[in-house]
Amino acid sequence: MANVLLERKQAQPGVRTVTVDISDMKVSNDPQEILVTYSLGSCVGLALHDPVAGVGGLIHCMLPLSKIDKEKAQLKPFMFVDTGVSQLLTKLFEMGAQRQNLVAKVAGAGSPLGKEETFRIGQRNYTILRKLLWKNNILIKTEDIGGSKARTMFLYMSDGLTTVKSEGKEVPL
Amino acid sequence: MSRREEILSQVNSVPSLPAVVCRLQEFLNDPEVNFTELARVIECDPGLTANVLQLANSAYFGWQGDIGSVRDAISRLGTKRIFQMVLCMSVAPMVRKPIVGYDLDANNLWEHSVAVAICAEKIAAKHRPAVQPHAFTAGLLHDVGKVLLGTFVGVDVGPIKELVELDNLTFNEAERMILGVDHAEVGAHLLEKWNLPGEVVSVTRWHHEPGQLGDELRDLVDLIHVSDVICLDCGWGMGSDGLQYRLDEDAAARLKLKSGDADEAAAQVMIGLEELLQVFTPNKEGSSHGVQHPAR
Repeated sequence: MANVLLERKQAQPGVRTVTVDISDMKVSNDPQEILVTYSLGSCVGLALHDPVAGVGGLIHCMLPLSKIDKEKAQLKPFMFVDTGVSQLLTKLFEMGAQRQNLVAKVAGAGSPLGKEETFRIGQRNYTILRKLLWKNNILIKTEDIGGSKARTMFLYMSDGLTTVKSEGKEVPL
Repeated sequence: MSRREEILSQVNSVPSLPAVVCRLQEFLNDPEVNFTELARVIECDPGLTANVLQLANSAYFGWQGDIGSVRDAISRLGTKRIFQMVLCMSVAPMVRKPIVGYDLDANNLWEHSVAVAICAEKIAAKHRPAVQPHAFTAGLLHDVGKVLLGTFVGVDVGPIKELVELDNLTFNEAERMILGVDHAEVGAHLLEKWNLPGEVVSVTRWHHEPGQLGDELRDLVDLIHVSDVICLDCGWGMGSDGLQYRLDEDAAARLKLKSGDADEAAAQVMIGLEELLQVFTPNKEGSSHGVQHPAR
């Protein structure tokens, strides 16, 4: 049922889908837009939405900390959680969002099967994201993290609905 | 005929690589290679010549706009690099198409293949310089079996996923259980048919189980295994199989890789992919590095 409703929502006339690539961010104040990011594995997707200002953004970060390569962080700030999320917040505040109204939802931070104790990219992404949001007084409202499935994340700018699609099923987050 | 036999018999229906690839391989093994003669082999094909020049002048290879002829490209980049470029051009049309069974759109597998090639090359440069010359080629080809196996996985994706979930198997182990063969083995058969070097064939065969391969190819298979996991982690080429593979921690340990090395390699891939994919998709619009997926 949820899938049918969401498909209808996506098919409404005038609705546009805006893709957020890997290491990319998009912001919007257009209720006709749906922000979407695909292929969330160990990367983290963060959707922030201020329902009062009607402003929101979606970011797809691949790695936790920019200190690993400062030069590349300049070229691709959204590749890293620390530089990317800071820029997303700055941009949303510039567009009129208020910190106390921001609703934060997170998806991704998966990992391969088994213990995977060497790289832990997903875990580290999530830890840094949580820390950064906490420092900014923003609590994560809901999340769909971990596991080994590929995820797609949507932010519907019409009302801030955030969904996660995995293995063909899209469900509200 | 068993399912396995049926699948492997399909290898024969896959087109051969263009003759120029075989000709170039012969040159690769010649220590006194004549650059002019080698250039002539490539220049017989105007499309290939244009593509090689474009690739040679891409930011990734570091000679932006400087290289004016194939001969120039050969002398500056070396015969191995030229072979890799021609191989890229030859494999691209087969890999750059939707792979239905794995839920991969056109470009997804291609992007993953190039990403693993770059990742393996970058890690090799720092940790295993001796195998660097083979890293790009082996990375580029490691998942080519998915092109052929995709159709069969599509039919049986339900039982495969069930095994992954219930029996805690990796996706390729489940492929073997259900289909009698996995994409790694199919890929190896395909590369054998294409007469590609034996080490690339073996590494493709065991890229999910590097411990199965002997010491001789240990470094290369470890490298491709780890690069594959890093690139899937980062979302390049992730399909219905998701992250349903296991990292062989011993392989990472043998290469002395830590989490920071994986991050560093992934960041290099991100930039390298943009530089290389621009050459392959010059008219692509709306995407910074060619990642375009419909909703899964």
